[in-house]
Amino acid sequence: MRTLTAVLALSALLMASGAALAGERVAADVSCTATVEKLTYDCMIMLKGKKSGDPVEGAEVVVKADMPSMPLAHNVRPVKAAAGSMPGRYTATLELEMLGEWALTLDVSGPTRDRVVKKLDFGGAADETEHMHGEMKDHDGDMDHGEMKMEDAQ
Amino acid sequence: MDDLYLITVLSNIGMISFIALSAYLLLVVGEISFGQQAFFAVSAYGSGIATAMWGWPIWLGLLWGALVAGAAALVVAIPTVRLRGLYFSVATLAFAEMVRLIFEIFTYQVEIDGELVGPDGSDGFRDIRAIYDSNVSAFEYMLIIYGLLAVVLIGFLILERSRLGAIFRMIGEDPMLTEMQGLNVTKYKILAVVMAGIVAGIGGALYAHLATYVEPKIFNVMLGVHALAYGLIGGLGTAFGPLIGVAIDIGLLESIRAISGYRMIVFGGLVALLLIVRPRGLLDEAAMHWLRGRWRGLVRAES
Repeated sequence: MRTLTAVLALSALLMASGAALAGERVAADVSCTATVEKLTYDCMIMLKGKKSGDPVEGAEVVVKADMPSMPLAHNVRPVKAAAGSMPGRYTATLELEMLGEWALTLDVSGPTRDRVVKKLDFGGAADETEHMHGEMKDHDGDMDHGEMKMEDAQ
Repeated sequence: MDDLYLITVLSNIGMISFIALSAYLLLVVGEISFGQQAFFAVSAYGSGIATAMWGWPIWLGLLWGALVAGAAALVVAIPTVRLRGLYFSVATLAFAEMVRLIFEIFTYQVEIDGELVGPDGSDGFRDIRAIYDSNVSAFEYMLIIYGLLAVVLIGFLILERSRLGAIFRMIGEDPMLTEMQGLNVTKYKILAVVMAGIVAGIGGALYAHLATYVEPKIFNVMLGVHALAYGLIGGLGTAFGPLIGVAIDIGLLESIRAISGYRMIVFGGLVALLLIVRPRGLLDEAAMHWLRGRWRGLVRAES
């Protein structure tokens, strides 16, 4: 009972405390390319300040993936993105469990702290048959070569 | 990253346990609900609106979410608890789909710090950031989830030893016989549906604040079917039953990476198998009776 009281007290304290961290909100663009490995995707993430448009450099970006249509059912390992060749560019390799629409959560920390959720369709029969070439359909049915487009803005 | 992964899995187990307990309570009173995800959704949106748009503190947002879910459950319960068997199940499923479709078109946004915040139909509800902006770590939030789960579980264990718990089980066994004892079955069933709605609501509010993003698609029938299956797998003899069901699905099957992609197929097979060999789950009433007898024997031998 004492342990439970301590956990509850900590919960109440955590809920009551904590000041919001200031910083410009981040805008993200994500595009993913199928690799030769089945259900494995190389993702390129572009981060920039939402208002300033300046690239976000030196950030730590952790990418998590969940399937909105099957919430809490898939526990894909979070992946730490590596800094890319351009300012504001990061890359991460995702190993998904199945095709379909996934929500990618980008946890950005470092010079600024933000969380951006992007929905991406890794999908369909085209991906199954053409993943060697990285060619697949996006939500509108248009063909993209080697990448999938984001469904929406953040 | 491994720590974060483990915390994510444990947090998911904790959050889905609420909806599993919610479905379990209805199974105890003999009703099969395919619609507990509706209360999870109502609370996710309700608590998100309260904290992200109205600026309420998180604890009040969680309480609000649970109460709104309870109120929604009352609205469902009044016309449906008189229905029997399959008709009740179909009614709950229809309600849940109705709620999901309402959220597909529900738009209510306000501008906060230059950003539009609030539900935007099928585009979802982003920036439910009360927990995130309070800089609560994933581990700390997991403690909050399990703290609240412990409270709910203790409530269930107290309920099971109470007169109300005995009435719920009696209704589940034979509602007509219960009615003949002079008990108002309809009233008790309404109470059970509302309590189940509140429990699912706590889970929904916690989920919205962990994910910071919800959309109608999340609350589809898949979530409701899983919630129901957890009780049927884990057993209807104790409130620990659905938690065992959740642990088997998310914990055990997830840990076996070789089958993780086929988990839904394995899970479906497991449910089918258990319904044949143990229709009331692993920890059914008979198993619990046996375990309690063994426990009493051990205590007596010790003393």
